[in-house]
Amino acid sequence: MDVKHIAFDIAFRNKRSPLDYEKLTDEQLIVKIKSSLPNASEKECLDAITKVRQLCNDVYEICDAYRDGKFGKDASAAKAAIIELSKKNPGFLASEYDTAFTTGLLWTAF
Amino acid sequence: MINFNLKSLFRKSFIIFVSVFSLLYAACGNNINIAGTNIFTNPANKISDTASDAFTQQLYSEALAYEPLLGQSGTQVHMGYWSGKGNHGDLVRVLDAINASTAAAGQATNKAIWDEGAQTSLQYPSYIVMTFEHWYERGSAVDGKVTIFGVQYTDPFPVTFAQADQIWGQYSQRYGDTARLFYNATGNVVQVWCFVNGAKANRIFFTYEYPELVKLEAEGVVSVHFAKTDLSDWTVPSDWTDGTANAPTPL
Repeated sequence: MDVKHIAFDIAFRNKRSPLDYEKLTDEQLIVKIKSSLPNASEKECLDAITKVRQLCNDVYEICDAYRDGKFGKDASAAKAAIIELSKKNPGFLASEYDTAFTTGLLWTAF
Repeated sequence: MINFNLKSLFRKSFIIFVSVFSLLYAACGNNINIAGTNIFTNPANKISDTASDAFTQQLYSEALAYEPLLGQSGTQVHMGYWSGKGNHGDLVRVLDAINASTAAAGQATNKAIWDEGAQTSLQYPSYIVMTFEHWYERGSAVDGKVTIFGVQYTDPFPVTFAQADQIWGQYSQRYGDTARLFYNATGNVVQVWCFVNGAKANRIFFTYEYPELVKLEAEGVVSVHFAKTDLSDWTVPSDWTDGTANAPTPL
């Protein structure tokens, strides 16, 4: 696991919201990442945190739009939404966009 | 003190393990497939289960297994709700503050719960199972394939997006209904704290939870409070708007 994947998991693994990213400072998140990856540099951690914070915002926007039917109502809508998310914030794995999107559907459910 | 806490932690971990295992075992006769920690429950069965009074009783029992005081005469039970971006964490802050409070002599002990569990860190076994069932992954399958944490599965019981919303919505309604059981057990009106500023009209809070709160309020079971700001403090009445009739207008 690299720094970005750990930063991603903190936000998206079985979560009802990106709580840590809403409540913790960058410094606190760096400590959290380093507890899993002690050799990671602070710059690497901060870059990953910034990228995931933006992804969290993008996920809210895309999932709200999906729920409002802006990607259509048929079976291709989810695929279109995931593609839009990957264009909006490139640099993650395809599987991470899938996870981010479906997790975001739970974030926006309530 | 340390030994006591370790014992308590062990007891609670054991409760989670046994309860989740029991729920999985029970579900095995209920049309499910298990792949690792992913559970492919038949959505029709889950919709039926989460619509039942038995599910309310199950959530109540799970809460009491974590915190027996929730079912004791005289305890003041508090229940939390949230909806919308940023509100999850605000509710966590208030529930933790309630559970950390110390009752003055002669006053009721305060205990706070939410739909995820008793206290903010102890999740109900039923909630854990809901997360293992991955309803939204299944409800947004692409080309018939469900992707869960990067691994693709063929769902033996395909789920529609509307079913995923219904299942989570009914789960939340049954959580709301536990208020009647807490009220009957403690003799105290349950205090409900809601962080829903910015919530949308077509999401679970306003379509499933709020109508249930209106009913419970009319029955005299709950007293409902809506946070005016992100920083609303449960001990400061002026931080809250009271009554379901005064809920914030949804977007």
